[in-house]
Amino acid sequence: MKDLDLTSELVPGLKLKNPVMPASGTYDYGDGANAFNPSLLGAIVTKSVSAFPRSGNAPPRIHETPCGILNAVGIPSEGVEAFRRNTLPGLKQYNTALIVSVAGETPEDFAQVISCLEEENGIGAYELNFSCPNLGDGIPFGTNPELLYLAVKQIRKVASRPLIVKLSPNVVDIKLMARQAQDAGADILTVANTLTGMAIDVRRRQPVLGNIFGGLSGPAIKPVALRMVWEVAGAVDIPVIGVGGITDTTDALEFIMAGARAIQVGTANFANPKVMLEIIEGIESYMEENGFTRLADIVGLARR
Amino acid sequence: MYVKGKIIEQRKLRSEYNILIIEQAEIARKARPGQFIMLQAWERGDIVLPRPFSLYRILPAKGQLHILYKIRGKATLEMSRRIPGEEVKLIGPLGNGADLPETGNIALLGRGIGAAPLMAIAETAYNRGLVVYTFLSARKRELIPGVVDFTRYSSKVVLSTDDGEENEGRLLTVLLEELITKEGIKIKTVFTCGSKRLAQGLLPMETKYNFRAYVLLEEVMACGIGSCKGCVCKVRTPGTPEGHAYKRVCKDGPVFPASEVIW
Repeated sequence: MKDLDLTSELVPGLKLKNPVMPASGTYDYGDGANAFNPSLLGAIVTKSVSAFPRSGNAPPRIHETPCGILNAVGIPSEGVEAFRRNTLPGLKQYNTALIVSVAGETPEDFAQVISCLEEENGIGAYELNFSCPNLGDGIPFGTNPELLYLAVKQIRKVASRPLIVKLSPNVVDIKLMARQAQDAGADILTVANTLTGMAIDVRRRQPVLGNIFGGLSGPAIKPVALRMVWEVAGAVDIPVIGVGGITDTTDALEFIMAGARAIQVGTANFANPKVMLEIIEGIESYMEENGFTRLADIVGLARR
Repeated sequence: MYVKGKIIEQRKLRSEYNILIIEQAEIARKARPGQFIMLQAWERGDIVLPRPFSLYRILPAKGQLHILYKIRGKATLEMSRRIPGEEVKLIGPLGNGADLPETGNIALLGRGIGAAPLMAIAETAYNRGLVVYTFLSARKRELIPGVVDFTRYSSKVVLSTDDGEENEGRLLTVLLEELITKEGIKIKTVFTCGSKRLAQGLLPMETKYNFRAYVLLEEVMACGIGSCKGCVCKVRTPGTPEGHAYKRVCKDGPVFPASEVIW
């Protein structure tokens, strides 16, 4: 094999060994399926951590739809202090970048979590989960451009590490949201979270999900997410991490060629716990077979 | 463990039940009764999740897993079309499994397809020298699966059907009570699956007859390994502000003390 350079330097100080990582909350490190060593990933992304323990939504929380899943898990979290004590030490042992996903209902919540995490070493970046559609009546700063700007600005003040803003796709103009985040100080954007949807059980004559609405993920949303990555990568100067229905190497390459410098795999991890490893190997094979030596050579290739 | 398995047999039972026999030596060696697997027996992009199935029989010597299932939706319909020799993908064994007492008598109470995981418990208990009493119910006789197999591992199999053909459709909990009071049988542990009403009916009997009751829960799952937190149930948890917490059926269960579950 030729020397392939799969690295992706998202920002100075955050250089991924390869562009593949899990979407927050979709991969179990270690004691689950034990499918492979998480150190092989480009990064580890944690479940979203909130300031205080949260129990999440009432079940049912999951409902499969054609080519997708609706989920209304509602970000259960042990809370940042328990996370530091119980979870973080184990995650730091892996030899790859560590991205901590942060959730909250107000910008203050995010700032509080990050202030606590600032005391820790070994964290590569924070990903702000602004766009979870499952948090009841929280302030919609994931879908309101002005509120998004103010929230990122406020959180930026307490964060010394790179800030990744995970954008909601449930907006009229994703480019506007991306620019607002960039202008407020975001270093990287993750595009995009789940699309809000629902299902009704006609036999029970009730919504299927305990939360009524849920986030749609999986192959069903891939064309939408891909279009958004394309739009955002053309609208901002900061790096984009693409996510939304990526199930195999071809999907991953599509996002990379649309301009994503890294990709996240979510729903596909459930059916195939080895899928991220297969995608890393698949990207290597693609590069080798097509004469590319650096990942950077295929980023945005379809735009040129 | 994420592995491949080979289909050995697709056995059609009466009614809408099938038994899928899969060769997967590693899982068969490790699995305990009450545990489950996530199974993918289809190559269809529109079905994005594997499905959880309890283990009906675990045969480590043959390296086989038997899955008793009901054709209920598109995934189980696909599954019923698989033929011997075809490959399936499995994650497992998963979940906490059933803890059997060292000695004494156990009772199994199952409703409909809920009998499935009880068979593995019956077989394991029988092989360890425990005495098993099995109580099964359904709408009608042909919807009670595995009676012949249960008879092999149980000292007694009691049936009840809603149409009255078996035991006038009386509640299994009442029939269990009769076994205890009229026949003087002492029961140490009860496992139940397939009916919320059955599990709740056992609660007042626990202290009265001094047994522990466990319920095997079912829930829609995405990952099956504790990662997605999609399959939770509400469980009494002292020390929390609300007095309860959401526990994952896949990882903290699927076997829970019946008295801890909040329905």
